[in-house]
Amino acid sequence: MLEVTNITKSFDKDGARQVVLSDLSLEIGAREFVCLLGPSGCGKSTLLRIMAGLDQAEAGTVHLDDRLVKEPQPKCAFVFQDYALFPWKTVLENAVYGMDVQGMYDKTTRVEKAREYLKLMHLENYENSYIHELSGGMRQRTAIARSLALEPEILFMDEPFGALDNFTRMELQELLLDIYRKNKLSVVFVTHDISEAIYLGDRVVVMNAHPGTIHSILEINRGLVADRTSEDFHLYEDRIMQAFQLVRKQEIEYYI
Amino acid sequence: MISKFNILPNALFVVLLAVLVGSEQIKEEPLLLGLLILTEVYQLAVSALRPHRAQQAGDVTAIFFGLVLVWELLTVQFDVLDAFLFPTPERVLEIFRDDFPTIFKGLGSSLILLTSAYGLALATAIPLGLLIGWRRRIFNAVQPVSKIMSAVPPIVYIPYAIAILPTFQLASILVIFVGAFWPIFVSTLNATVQIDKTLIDSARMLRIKERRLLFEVILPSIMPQVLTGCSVGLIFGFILLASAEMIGATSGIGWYVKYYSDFGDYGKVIVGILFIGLVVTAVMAVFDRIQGHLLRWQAKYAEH
Ligand SMILES: Nc1ncnc2c1ncn2[C@@H]1O[C@H](COP(=O)(O)OP(=O)(O)O)[C@@H](O)[C@H]1O
Ligand SMILES: [Mg+2]
Repeated sequence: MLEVTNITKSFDKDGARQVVLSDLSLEIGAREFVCLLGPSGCGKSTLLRIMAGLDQAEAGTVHLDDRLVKEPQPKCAFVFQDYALFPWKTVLENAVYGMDVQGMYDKTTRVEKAREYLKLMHLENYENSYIHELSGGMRQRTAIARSLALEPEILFMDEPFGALDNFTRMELQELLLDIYRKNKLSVVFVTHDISEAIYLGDRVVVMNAHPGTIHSILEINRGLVADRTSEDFHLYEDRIMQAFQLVRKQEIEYYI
Repeated sequence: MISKFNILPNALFVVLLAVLVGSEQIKEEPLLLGLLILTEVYQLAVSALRPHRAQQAGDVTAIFFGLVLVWELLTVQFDVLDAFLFPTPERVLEIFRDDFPTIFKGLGSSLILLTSAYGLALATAIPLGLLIGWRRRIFNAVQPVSKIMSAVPPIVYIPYAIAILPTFQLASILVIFVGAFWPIFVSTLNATVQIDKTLIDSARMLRIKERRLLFEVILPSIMPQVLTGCSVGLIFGFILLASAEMIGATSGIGWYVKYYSDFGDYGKVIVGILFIGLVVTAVMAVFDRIQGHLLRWQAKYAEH
């Protein structure tokens, strides 16, 4: 469905050219939940933004259902770590606006749809609140609701729960999995939290840094990770830890 | 209740009453007495009905009473000031009452100039600031020019504007427009350039058209800075209005002050000055209400 082929991307840093992504390829299937996992600065956000059409790669291509992605595509939504809500709009207005811009439905249906997804996110009592009145978790639920209201085929999420406390994060992970199961969409989820990646993803793409490449891809058997304290969950964690250790060893060798 | 009772303004009120009753003028001219009583009643009412505003109302009233008392003592009771340059409070109120129709008509013509020029400034400065701030290349080209242009005090344009334009009205509209334009334009421009990029990204994901992006996303998001520019622009507008009228008008509030200073009628001059102060305060109060409404989504303007 989404096909990333031989992507290279670099930025100017203090006059020098810094390669952030190097010859990276990846495929995301329909209705698949893929987590991009890696240490800070390894290029996860850069990769996600290129996939979403927000940025362009220097070399390589991204195709969405055989269309070349050069700009944001229809049926795609993006959830940002810092929410990127419109603070001058109420919760309901935020949820309605995207559908309005995309010319979806008529006015009453838009409001109905928005209400439906706000309810799914347990926000039905906060429709008329402004963003500054909401907690971080409620803000991110609003952002997710407004994205879902667009009924996207792909949902890009860049460390969406990174700024939240543990309790809120776990609650939102549950909500997200629930929605993922009920709706027919793919999710590309960026995180630097190992257990979050295992808990949410069908596949975990482990990235290493400088330059960002894919170290390995781990298939997760969902049946085994429903319980975060289970033996199997820890086995997955161990395997990812080992992957990162390998990355570190390589770096050390490189420096010597 | 007792604790909310302000001693200072009430004491000053009593002193003022005593001074006025002792003077001759009070019998001929009850205007000042009336104004003082109204102020006192207002102050007492606020203290009783809105306890949280009591202190401020009391303090403001005390300052007002204090000023009137000093003025009254210096001009009437001790008569140390030149009566020609410093008319008594009673005299000023009298002029205000008698000249009110003239002043009010002048206000009309002033406000027509101000609203047309300010409206024009809003209608051009905001869209231009948005567009130029958004298009990086035009911004880089325009910025040096706008820096120089906005640094020129618009008052210096007045004689030239009067010379090149056929009527005084057009000349003052132009000058007021220039004065109001720059603060609005510059604040819109800078806020647009510094806009939060994730907000833009989240709109871009919707495949939004540029026009909607500018007016439905960027503009509301920078509204706080734009409104700050608008309020500075409005104050500049008033300054230029008064200046232009003092130079070339035949009516209006600035003209009134200038006209009677030329005759040495300083009672009318003081009335004109006080009136301008009241008008500007009233207009700014309306502006603040509009600002509070437009920014009701911000915590500090939230209404509850
Ligand atoms: N717009 C940009 N300009 C310059 N450097 C950037 C830009 N975006 C990202 N980078 C650099 O690219 C690297 C990877 O960034 P990013 O993709 O945000 O990493 P991650 O999301 O994995 O933490 C970082 O070193 C960062 O400094
Ligand atoms: Mg990132």
